[in-house]
Amino acid sequence: MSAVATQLVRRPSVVAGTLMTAATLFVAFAGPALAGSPDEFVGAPFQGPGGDAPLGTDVMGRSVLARLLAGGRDFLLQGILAAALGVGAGVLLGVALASASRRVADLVLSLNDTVIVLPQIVIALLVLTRLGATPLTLVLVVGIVHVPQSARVVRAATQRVVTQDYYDSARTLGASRRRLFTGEVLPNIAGVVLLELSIRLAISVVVLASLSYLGFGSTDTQWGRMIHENQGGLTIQPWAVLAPVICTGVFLIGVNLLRGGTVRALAVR
Amino acid sequence: MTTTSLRRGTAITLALSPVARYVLRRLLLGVAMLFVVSVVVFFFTQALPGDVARQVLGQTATDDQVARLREQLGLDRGVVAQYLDWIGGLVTFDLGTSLTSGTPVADLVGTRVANSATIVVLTAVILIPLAVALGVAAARSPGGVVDGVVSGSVLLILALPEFIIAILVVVLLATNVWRLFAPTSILDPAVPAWEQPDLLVLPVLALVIGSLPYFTESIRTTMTDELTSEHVTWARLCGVAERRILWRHALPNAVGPGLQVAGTTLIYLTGGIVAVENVFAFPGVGSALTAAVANRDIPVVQAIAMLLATVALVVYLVADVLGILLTPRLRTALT
Amino acid sequence: MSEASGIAISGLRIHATDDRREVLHGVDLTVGPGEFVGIAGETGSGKTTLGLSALGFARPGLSVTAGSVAVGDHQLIGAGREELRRLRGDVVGYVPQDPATALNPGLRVGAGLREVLRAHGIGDRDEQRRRIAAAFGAVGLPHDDAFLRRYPNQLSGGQQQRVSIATAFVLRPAVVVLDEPTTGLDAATKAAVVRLVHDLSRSAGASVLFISHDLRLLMETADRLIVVYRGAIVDDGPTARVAAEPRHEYTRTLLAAVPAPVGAALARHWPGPSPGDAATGPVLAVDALTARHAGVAVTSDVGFTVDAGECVALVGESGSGKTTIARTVAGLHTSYDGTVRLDGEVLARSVSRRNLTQLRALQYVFQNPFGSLNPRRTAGRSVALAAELVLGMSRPEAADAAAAALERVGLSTRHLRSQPHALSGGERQRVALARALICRPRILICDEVTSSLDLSVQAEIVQLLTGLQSDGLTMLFITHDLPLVSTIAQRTLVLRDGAVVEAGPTPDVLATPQHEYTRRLLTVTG
Repeated sequence: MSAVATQLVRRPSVVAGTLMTAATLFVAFAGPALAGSPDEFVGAPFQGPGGDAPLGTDVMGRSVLARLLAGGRDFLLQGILAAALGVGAGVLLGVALASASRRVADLVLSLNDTVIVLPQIVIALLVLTRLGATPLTLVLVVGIVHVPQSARVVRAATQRVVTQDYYDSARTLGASRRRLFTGEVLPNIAGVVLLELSIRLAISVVVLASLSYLGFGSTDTQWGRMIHENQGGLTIQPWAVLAPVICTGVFLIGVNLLRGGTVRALAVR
Repeated sequence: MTTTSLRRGTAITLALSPVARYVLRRLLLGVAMLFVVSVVVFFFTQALPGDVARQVLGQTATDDQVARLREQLGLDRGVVAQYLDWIGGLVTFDLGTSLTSGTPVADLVGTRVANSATIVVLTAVILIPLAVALGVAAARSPGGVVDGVVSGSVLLILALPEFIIAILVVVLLATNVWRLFAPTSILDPAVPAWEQPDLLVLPVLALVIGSLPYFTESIRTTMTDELTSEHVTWARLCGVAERRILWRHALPNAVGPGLQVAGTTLIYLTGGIVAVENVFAFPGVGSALTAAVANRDIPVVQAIAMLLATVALVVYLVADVLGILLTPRLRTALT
Repeated sequence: MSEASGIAISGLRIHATDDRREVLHGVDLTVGPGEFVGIAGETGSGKTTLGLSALGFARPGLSVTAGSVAVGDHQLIGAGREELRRLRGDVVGYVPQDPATALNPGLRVGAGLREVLRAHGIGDRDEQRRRIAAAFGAVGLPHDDAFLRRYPNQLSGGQQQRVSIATAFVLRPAVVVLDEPTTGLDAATKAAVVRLVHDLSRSAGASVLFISHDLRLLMETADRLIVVYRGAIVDDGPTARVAAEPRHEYTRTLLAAVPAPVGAALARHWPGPSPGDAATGPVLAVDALTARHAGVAVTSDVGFTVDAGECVALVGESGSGKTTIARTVAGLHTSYDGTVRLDGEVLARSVSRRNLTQLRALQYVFQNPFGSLNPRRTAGRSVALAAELVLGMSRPEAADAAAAALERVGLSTRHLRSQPHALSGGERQRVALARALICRPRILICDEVTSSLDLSVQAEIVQLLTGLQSDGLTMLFITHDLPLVSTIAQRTLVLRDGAVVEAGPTPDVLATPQHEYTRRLLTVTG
C-alpha cells in the first residue's frame, strides 16, 4: 500500500467519513430498487413504526421507509452533477484566466464577485421563478453558481504552478501548450481540484436539500420535502422527520469528515 | 478671496485624502455591481424568453386576464424600455404591485423587512461577541477543551443545511425533548417583532448555531496565526507579558480579518433566513421570497432580490473600509 | 545588570516533543563578558535552537530535557514564568532573523520599543522618550516624532533591522543573541549592521552570540568561532585558530567550501579562451540589451559575449538585473530592446518561437532546486523527458540516457525513481544539471545555482561545475557572490542597477577592482 493510503486509513475521521458517505450513497442509489411503492397508502397518517411501515407512516399514511429509500437518489445525483459541472467549468475558466492578460482576468473576476453578492439559495430561487424546478434547471443553476468560486481557486493554484521554475524549465525544453497543461499544470493542481470538488459537492447537496424542503425539488419524493410535509406531526410520529434528517446529515457530515481527514493526512505528510 | 486661496481651495477638493478617495472608489464600484445584479435579476425574472403572463397565471386563465397582466407588466414594450421602467421605479422607491394580492410591493414587504432585520440583528449581536470569545479562547490553548469543541462543531454543524439545524432546534426545545417554546413563530402583525421576544428565540437560536462554527473557526485561525507569528514570538523574547501580548500585540491585528469574516457571516445570514423563516413560518423576507417564487409573483421576487443584494453590498463596503482603516499596513499603503 | 556576567550553558539537551529525537546533545558553552562569539552551522544543525536556549526558550515542538543556562546569577532553565519574562529583554536580548516579520505590523516604531520598556517597569513617558532617543541614536536612526510614528512597513530593510537591534540593546542586557541578522540584506547594509553590533557590544560590555551560516562573515567579525554540527559543538576556539587548524572534519569541509580569498585565486593560472574558436566567433553574444519589467528598464545597454569553452560570470546583488539577463537569453523574458545571438544567429524573443536546435543548444539551470523539478515526476522521468522533447528520443532510449546523465552528475541509478521531495537540495540541483546536460547544450546558463544550498553542498556543486567546465562546457554563470567566481569563471562582469560597471578577466577584476562597487562586493565588512 502506498504511503498516502496508509496515512489515510490510519485516520479515524477518514474511515468514519468514508463509511458514512458510502452508506448514504448505497441507501440513496440502491434504495429505489429495494423500496416498495413510495406513493402507496399503507395505513392511517402518522402511525408509529410497525407492520407494513417499519418506520411508521407519514402525513398521508404512506410508508416512511419506502419514501426514504426512494427519496435520496434524485437530489444526490443532481448534487454530484452540479458539483462536477461547476468545478469542471471552473477548471477551464480558472486555467484560461491564469494565462489571460491581467486586465481581462480582473474584469472577469470582478464580474464573478458580483454574482456571489447574493446567497446561493437566493440565486437559485430567482432563476427557478420562471424556469421551474426541473432536474436540468436545478443542476444548471446550482452548478453554474459554483463556477466563480471554483475558477478563482483553480486560477490561484494554476498561477502557483506557472510561476514555478519547473514550468519554465518545460518551456525551455520546447513543451507544447497541451503538454504543459497535461504534464505540468494538471498533475499539480489535481489535489486542489479534488478538494474543491468535495466542497462543492457538499454545498450542492445543501442547496438542493434546502430547495426540496422549500418545495422546489424536482419531485415531491425527496428527503427535504419529506421533512417539510411531516413537520406538523413531529410530536406524534417523529421518525417521519428524523429519518430523512439523519440520512441527509450523515451524508453531509461524512463528506466533511472525509475531506477534513484527508487534508490533514496529506498536510502531515 | 485672492487667487491663491481660491486655487488652494480647488486643489483640496480635487486632492481628497487617500481614505476618502478609496471610499469613493469603493462606493462607485458598489453601484456598478448593483447595476450588474439588477441586469441579472431582470433577465431571469422578466426578460427570459417565453410568455411571462401565461406562465404567471397558468393554463386556466382566460385570454382577457393574460392580456390585462401583460399590460400591467408592460410586456408589450421592448425589453430595454421594460428594464428602464423597472429600474426607474426602484430608484424612486416605487417597487410595483404584487401580482398575487394586488397590493403595492412596498406595503407587502415593509413589515417583513423589519421582522427579518430584527432576527438578523439579534443574531449578530449574540453571534459576534460569542464567536470572538470562543475563537480567541481556542487559539490561546490549542488542544484544549474549547479548541476541541470548536473543531467538533466545525466538522458536524458546519456541514448541515440551516433548515436541518432549525428542525433539530424544534425537536429539542419545542416538540419532542423539551417543550419550552412554540414550534412556530407566527407573529401578531399588529405588534412589532421585538415586542414578541418569545417567538424570536428559536429562529435566532437556529441562525446563531448555524453561523457560529464558521465565524469561530475563522477567528481561531486568524488568532492562531497571530499568536504563533514571528512578531509575537519576538515580543515574548523581549519579555512582554502574555496578557499584554494578547490585547496589545495580537488582537488589534486580527480586527481587520475579523471584520471581513463578520461581513461574510452577515451575507450568509441573509441566505440563512430563507430556510429558517420557512421552518418557523416566520413572516419575514425569506418566507416572502419563497412564497413569491412559488406564485411567480415577479415584482415581489425582483424587489426582495435587489434588497438583499443592496444589503450585501453595503455590508461588504463597510467591512472593507473599516478593515482598511483599522489595519495600518493597508491604510498607509493607500495612495 | 552586574558588571561581569557572561553566559554559561552546560549539559544542555533539547528534544523534539513528538518523536523524542534529540536535537542538542548535551552542549557546554561558556562565554565571557564582552566576548563576540560567532556560531556557524548549516540548516538544521541546531545553532538557532542553541541560541534561543540562551533566553530559556525552545520553539514549539521542542523542549529542554536537561542542563542549565545561567547568565550571572540568573538561572534561565527552570525559572518561573514571571521570572523568565523579566529576564528576557533585560538580561538577555534577542535580534530576530527577519525584522520584516518580527516587527509587529500594527505597532508604530516608537510604540513597539515602548512596549519593551513598559514590560520591564519603565512606565514614565519622559523616561521612555529619553531611552528611545538614546537607543535609536546609538543605531543611527532618527528619533523625531515623525519617525517614531511610522509603521514598520514604512521603513527600509536596513532601518527595520536597526530598529530590532535598538530594541535588543535598549535595556543594556548582559548577553545578546543575534539569529542570522544579516540574511536578506545587501552587502553594504550587512557590513553596517555588523559594525553596529560590534560597537554596541563594546560600549555596553555585552556578550554577543552571533548565529550565521555565512562562515566568511563570521571569520571576519568574531573573536571566537563555534561550529555546530548535528546538535553538538564540534569546534570551538579563537577564530584564527579554528580557521588555521580546524579540529573536526566538518569544520574542514566548511572552510574548504569558503571561496578562496582573493590572493589565493590570483596564484592560480587561468587558461585564456581557446584561440581556435576566435575564427568561428562567440557562442553567445548579447548586444545593447535593455530589458524592462512592466515598462521600467531594469538593465541598460548590457553587452557581452561568451566564447566556446569559456565560463563568463555575471555578478551583482539582488536587483542588479542579472537574473533578468539570464531569463532574456533563455527566452523566458521577452520585454527588451537589443539582440541575443546564438552562434551568430539572432534568437527569437520567446522560447516558444525558437527552433528545436536553438532550444537544445541553450540550457538553463534554476536557482531554487526545490522549484525546478515537477513534484509529480520522478527524477529519472524529469531528465528523460528533456531528452524526449529536445532530442526526439524514444522513451526507452531517453530512460537509458537519463541514467547515464544522472551518473555523470554523481547520482546513482537508485535516484532514477526518487520523487523530488525525497531528495536533498544538493541532489535536486544535480538532477536539474543532469536534465540540462542530457541535451548536450552549446551553452549552460547557471542562475545562482548554489545560493539556496548549504555551504558544504555548495562546494560540491561548484566542484562538479568546474569539472564539467574543464571538459569543455561553455557556461554563463550568474551569482551574487563575487569571490565564488574565482574558482569558476575566466571572465567576470560586475552589474549594478542594470549596468555593467566593470568587466575583465576574473583575476584582474578580483585583484585590482577598478570600481568602488566591486571593491565593496569583495569585502564583507566594508
